[in-house]
Amino acid sequence: MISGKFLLGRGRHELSEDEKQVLEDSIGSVRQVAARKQIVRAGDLIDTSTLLIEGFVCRYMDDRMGQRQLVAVHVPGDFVDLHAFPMKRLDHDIATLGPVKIACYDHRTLQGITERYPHLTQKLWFSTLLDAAMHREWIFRLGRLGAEGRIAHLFCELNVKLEMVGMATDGRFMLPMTQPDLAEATGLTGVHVNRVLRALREKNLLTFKANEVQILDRQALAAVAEFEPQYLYGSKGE
Amino acid sequence: MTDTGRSAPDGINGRENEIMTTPESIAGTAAAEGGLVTLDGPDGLAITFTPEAAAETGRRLIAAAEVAAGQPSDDQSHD
Repeated sequence: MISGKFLLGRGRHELSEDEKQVLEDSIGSVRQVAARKQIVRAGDLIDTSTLLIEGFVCRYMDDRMGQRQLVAVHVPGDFVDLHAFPMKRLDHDIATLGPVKIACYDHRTLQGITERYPHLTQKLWFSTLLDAAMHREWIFRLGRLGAEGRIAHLFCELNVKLEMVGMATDGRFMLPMTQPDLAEATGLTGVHVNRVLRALREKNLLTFKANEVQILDRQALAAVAEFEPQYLYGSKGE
Repeated sequence: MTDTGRSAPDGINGRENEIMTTPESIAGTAAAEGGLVTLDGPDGLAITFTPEAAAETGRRLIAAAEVAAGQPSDDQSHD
């Protein structure tokens, strides 16, 4: 099932087989997009929403000097821009980090789901509220944590999210992000990120090499990050 | 669940007079890295300077600190 990672680890088991099939059958098209390509541009009128099937994408905003702030990193199973369904345009750009496969849902089809499947609609709403919860946590990260905490927090978050969809095991996962990407996600410079990654490695907390992350001490890393995963709303037993 | 000690047990209710960010009494840590100067924390501070900007910021901080040390302290828990 192409949409099989949607809400995996977050209550997908509460969807009926019929609802899962409706979500699957509602896919309008499936696209492969190369790495480092823009998928959606801020301000454009859009009539589809994107479910990420494979790979990683980011949401970002650029300042007047062209410096970038990542405001979200999405993993497979995330509905990247479901909020565009009611809003019809985005206030941020979306781009791929590595090569991705995406499923596109026409907004008229989503409208039909909202009219006929209230429980599935509630789950779609839930998924956009997850985004809001993560945005709150990213504000906390940028406003309250130092450089090590910010980097540690991002890796803790990605680890939990990827565990939910079966893409992280024992703290190890692949991540097609560069040090400049990490810098743009954490409001740091590249040189600062480099120093923090070295410090985390020397403390035996984490290694990040050739796009592979290995968390060495999950509890200690979470302590550095002040990371508490409740905001990710994981469900047990999936 | 990891206990990071992030939340006070009684949340915001027991902290009515401490909600605002308070002045930091611990000095930040400066380091040279790749021909640049990084300044870390406390209180979420994380910034990278060129050497020239770092030196000038240092001079300005010292000057401001000397002025502030001669000022009456401001109790920030009251308007």
